[in-house]
Amino acid sequence: MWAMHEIRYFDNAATTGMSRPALDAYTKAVVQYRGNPSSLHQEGRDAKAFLEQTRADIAGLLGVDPLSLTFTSGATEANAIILNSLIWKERKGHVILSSIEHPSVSEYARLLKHLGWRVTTLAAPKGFIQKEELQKALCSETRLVSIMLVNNVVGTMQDIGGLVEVVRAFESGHNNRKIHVHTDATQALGKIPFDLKAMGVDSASFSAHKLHGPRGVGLLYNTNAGIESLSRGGSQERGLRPGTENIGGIAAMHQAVKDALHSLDENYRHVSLLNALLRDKLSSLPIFSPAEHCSPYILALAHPTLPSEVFTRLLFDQGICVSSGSACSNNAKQKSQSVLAAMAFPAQLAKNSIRISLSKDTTAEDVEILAQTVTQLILEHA
Amino acid sequence: MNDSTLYLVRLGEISLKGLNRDFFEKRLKNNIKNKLKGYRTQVSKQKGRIFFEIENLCPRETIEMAFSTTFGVVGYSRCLRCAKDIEAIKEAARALMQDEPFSKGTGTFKSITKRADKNFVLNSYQIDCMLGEVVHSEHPDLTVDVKNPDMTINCEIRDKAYLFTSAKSGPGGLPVTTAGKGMLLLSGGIDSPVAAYRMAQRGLKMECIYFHAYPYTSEQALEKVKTLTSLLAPYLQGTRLHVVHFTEAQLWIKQHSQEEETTLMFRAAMMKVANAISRKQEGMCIVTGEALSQVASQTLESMAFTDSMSEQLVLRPLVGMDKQEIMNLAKHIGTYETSILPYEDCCVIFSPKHPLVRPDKELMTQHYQNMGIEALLEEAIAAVQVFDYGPDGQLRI
Repeated sequence: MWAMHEIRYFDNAATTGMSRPALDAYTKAVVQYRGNPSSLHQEGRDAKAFLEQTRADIAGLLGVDPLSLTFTSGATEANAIILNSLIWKERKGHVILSSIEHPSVSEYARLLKHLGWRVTTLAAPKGFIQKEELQKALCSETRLVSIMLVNNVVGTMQDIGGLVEVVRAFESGHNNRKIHVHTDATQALGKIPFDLKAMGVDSASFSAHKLHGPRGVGLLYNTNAGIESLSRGGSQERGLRPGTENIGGIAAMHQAVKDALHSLDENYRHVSLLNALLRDKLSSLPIFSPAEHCSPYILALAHPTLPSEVFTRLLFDQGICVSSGSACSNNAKQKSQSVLAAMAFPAQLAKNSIRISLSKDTTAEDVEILAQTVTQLILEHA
Repeated sequence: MNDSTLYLVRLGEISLKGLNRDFFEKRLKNNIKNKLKGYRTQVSKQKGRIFFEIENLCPRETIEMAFSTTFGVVGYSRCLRCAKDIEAIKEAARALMQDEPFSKGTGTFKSITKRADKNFVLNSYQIDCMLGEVVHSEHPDLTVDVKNPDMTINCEIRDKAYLFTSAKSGPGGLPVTTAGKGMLLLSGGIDSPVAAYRMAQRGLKMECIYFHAYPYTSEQALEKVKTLTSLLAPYLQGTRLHVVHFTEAQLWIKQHSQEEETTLMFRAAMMKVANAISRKQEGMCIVTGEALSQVASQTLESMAFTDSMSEQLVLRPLVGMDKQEIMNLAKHIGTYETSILPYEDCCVIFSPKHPLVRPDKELMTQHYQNMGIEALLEEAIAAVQVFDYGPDGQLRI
């Protein structure tokens, strides 16, 4: 079935290859800082100093206070820390989630409802949350709003700053009772320019492996002192994320974030050109990702007749890796289709969707071959 | 044979056989020996039971696998053979106390003696009492229950003294191959492996047929079917998996039949292919995992139609079983966890939204003939890929 072809990788929203500098940073850190940062001896104190310096450096890159950053095992854990915090609350309130969240957020709807919370899921026609809808959903019981910055299935970018303004305006009209605003910014960091402070969110989550860093390490930005973790253990990460810190992973993440932010504009231009090229060559196909307010790194489209997993297999037979949805779960196909359904795309098209996701390393030749192969397969399976 | 362990195998239904009992016993003996290939094994028979003396180089797991997956074995236990001497018998009994089930040290027990040699110095009751004392001295917490014991210690005085404890269960039934050969339609779901188990339990040898429709079904779905075949292979005394590449045929059916009839047409085409492979392999029947009214293609009318497409007898051992019973049996034989892996065995584009539930047999037959699919099926039969699995479940390269 699978013929020998050069592999061309278009699944960078699932994970990216680790960069050499990130790998070098990992190796250097684990060799140099063997001590446990919680140990009192010199080796431990050196590791602790390195950890805190790295935190400060990343904070500098993101323009935030180092104390607002918590190292985690990835964005899923970062999201979980914020959402699990609600479980401590004795008085159940109201939560607003967008209908296009990653499962690491959307799956909380079921849990929170089970625990007696009221959950509103905001519709996202064509992938965008409407400020008026958020305005309507807010109520005096609302405790948390979670809306992702860049959607992982189609790439739509939300005006998080504008949505936060809606929440803050509501707060000021309701005795300034705090509503926590969280954003999953996993697909944004190092790819899309944003300013955490200017957006005004209370928390945001990130993952290193989406920007050529290692897997198993991520970051939580949080300015809300009321957040309490469910995990118990040591006092690492000020108790928000107990457990011995992943020194190598954190060093490598720092390197990856630094490189990505340094080349953000250049990479953005490169990937935008490739995205435009693909849109041009595949213009006859149904494309889910809108042309505007959308990350150029993600392009979701549909085969006119073939189900997504069949199309994905045929592409892989030609050496091309794409995703039939978010790759984070076994039934990813179903979950990404439900996101497309929430965006009001027809079910018939949604089940044929594939996601092409680019990286700084994707070349024009890669994109040419992808476009040719897709066109050929469409002719063969019309 | 030195450095060997003796096992006693109890026979169930085979013991009820008359003049042909030898035929069944011989098959059983050969089926077990096939699973112990490479290890020296001596077999001897006594009424209602067979003794296997297996060299100690053979791992315990291999022996357990051989007895627990061979149909015809009702129970088996490790057995000690010693001189007809009171001290030797006590010594053997003490050795058995170190092994399951007595080693647990709790529960109830009973001793059972058969004294075929009436010249032995102690009578059955006296031997029972002696064994009881040994048990108590080794495991004082065990208590006697002669009506419903948790475990037994058995002693038989024959040419020598044979001691063994309560048996582990075997799968029962009749030895595979004694009933002939059939072809199993293996889908990758929960039911068909269970159907194979049930028919193998009646002595049927089976080869498996899987219809693969790449890229509409995944390579993982095929890998799953291979895993299921390897799990079934010990029960089937080894088997062959025939992979029929069915994509062209399925596309043809989709294009040349009415949408609501496609599933029935697929089933009909599968029956035709299965019959052709069965004839070639000298099989006599087709086995499926269908259960009445489970899905549209398993109603009385649908099964009557697919039956009519098969020249060979179609056996459906699960036809009257409840789904939960089928799932329980799948768990028991160890195929359930593989069967529920999320790789679909039929792509959604081939599944009609409203399949026909009560087809007219004559009309369907006519529609099937009108499709003109024979040439494509012949091509598919000619291109069948085969994978052979040994009685140990391993793929033979």
